[in-house]
Amino acid sequence: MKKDYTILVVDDAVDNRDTLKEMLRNEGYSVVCASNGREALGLCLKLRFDLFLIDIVMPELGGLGLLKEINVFDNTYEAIMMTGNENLEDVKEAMELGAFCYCSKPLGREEITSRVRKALGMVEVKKQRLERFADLEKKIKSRSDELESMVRLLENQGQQLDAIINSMGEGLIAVDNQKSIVIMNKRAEQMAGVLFAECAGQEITSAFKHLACADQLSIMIDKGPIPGKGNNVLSIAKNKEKAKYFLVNVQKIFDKKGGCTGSVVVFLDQTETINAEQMRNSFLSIAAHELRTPITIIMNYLSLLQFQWEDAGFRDEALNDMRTANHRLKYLVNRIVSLASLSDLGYAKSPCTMDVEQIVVSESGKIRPEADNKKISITFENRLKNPTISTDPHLLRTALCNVLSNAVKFNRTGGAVHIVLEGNAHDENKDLSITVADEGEGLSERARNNLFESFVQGEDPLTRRHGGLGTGLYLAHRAAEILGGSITVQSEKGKGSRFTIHIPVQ
Amino acid sequence: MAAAKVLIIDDEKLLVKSTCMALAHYGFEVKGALDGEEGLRAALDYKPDVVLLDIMMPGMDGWQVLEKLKQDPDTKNIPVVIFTAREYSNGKALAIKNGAADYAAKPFEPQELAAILEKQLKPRDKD
Repeated sequence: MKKDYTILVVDDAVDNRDTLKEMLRNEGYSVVCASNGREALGLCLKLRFDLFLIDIVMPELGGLGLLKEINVFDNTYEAIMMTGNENLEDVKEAMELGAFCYCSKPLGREEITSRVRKALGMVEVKKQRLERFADLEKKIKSRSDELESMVRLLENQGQQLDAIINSMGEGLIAVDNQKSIVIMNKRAEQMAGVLFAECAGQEITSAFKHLACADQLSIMIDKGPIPGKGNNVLSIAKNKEKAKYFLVNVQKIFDKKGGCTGSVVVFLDQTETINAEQMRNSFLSIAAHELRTPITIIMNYLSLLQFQWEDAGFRDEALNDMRTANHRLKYLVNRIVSLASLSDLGYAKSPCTMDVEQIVVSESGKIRPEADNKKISITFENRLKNPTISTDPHLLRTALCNVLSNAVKFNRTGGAVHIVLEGNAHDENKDLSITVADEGEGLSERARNNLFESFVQGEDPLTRRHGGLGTGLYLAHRAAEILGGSITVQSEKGKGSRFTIHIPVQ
Repeated sequence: MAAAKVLIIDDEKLLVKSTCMALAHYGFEVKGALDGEEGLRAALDYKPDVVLLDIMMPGMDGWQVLEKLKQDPDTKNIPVVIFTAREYSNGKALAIKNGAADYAAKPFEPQELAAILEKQLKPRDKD
């Protein structure tokens, strides 16, 4: 089937035009005519041609000029030049400008139709080539778009992975087959106290040689943690810091062929859980001891009273001692109750306006009998101009009475307790502080650091010199904390202690 | 025959006092010591037939007192009953291993305590 081709015949000789027109129409082509180059260019703006038949010598714009303008190199059409005189220079130039061929006038039908067919064959080849190019270009474009988006995705994924790994609460370290560190996240850096940049590529035991657990960790990577055994928890202690406990999970990494390429080690911080557990055990043990003693005393007397009820002297003495023991039980139970309520994170404050001076006076009054027993003097100095503040009185009393009771309990016989109530040096309405200084044995640095954290009295519970649950400062600290304040301590072993309760004024 | 002599070593004043009275009621002659040092001296001077020893004490704890009692030829044959308010998971085994004769956890009825001490007395000391 013949395609519908359009041919532009450009010739200033009208009879030539007509002859060609008729000849080509008979061949089934659409034919348009122009009498010179300029007219032809005008037609090119409106119509699309597949082939130009161009006379070389024409007025206004000649054939060579037209050939330059239509630029057959960059287009799918072709041009056949027609010449009357065999000017070889013109023909040569026309061929250089991309003409398909040239015919000498007069033009024979056979020659014309054959050349037109060949030229159109070339047009067809050019068109197909162009289509293929366009197709190829499209394919390349879409492939490169794909690649670009893939790269972007990978970059994003890489960044996302980095972000995920670094925001993890768990420490993460990946090692290769030689146990050299290849990945380490921020948490792991903090944990180990070493930066990834410093230890990348280093063997893990040498990178972590400052940690006592390095060898154990290396063994875990070799053998993997043993499920159900307690030895999956590593204790990591850095310099002077308290030990931290991490649950360690080791996962081997395998490649597609099933070969091991390294391991991923994940560290889960268990310090709080383990500390809380130790604290609870220690507290329960001390609480049991403290409760059992008064109960045994009461049981002894109850048993004796069955036999000696008639002895009025003994009866009074027994009742008196039982009252003392009972008082101690009551105190312990109250302690346990306030411990439970203050440990509750949702503790609701109930502030009211009150006179802080009165609270200090009444709380120091409560410890007076115990102080008198040890011949300890209590002095109080109020430096506040306006002692009326708004705060939760129960919490303030809790903080103060525990600090005061310790100041007496841990004081020397005949010592002194000095209380100072004062405001913020810059703005009295901002916050106030109550400082309680004693002349007791003071605290070592180690004891000072643990003071508010656990219930222990900074001594071995087995041989501690002082009774009680060891919850006093914990309670005081919690109460101050709930009030939005804090407790600080200044102390030196052998030189007494100064506890300061800081309370914001509302 | 003379009453069996019991030495109580415990830092809780009222506990020592009331236990002394309760054991006296069950026919024992009782002496109290409020810390380890005093207890060790009393073990030599008072020559008790049995020692009732608390563990959690300030200064020297009960285990240290027990060790010293067992080291001294003059006191090593006195049976020691550990009585403590602190629960040890393997308390009795620990007590026996350290040379104690028995282990009792507070609180207990005076009668029970009397029975525990009674078991430790040599036949010649019994009436």
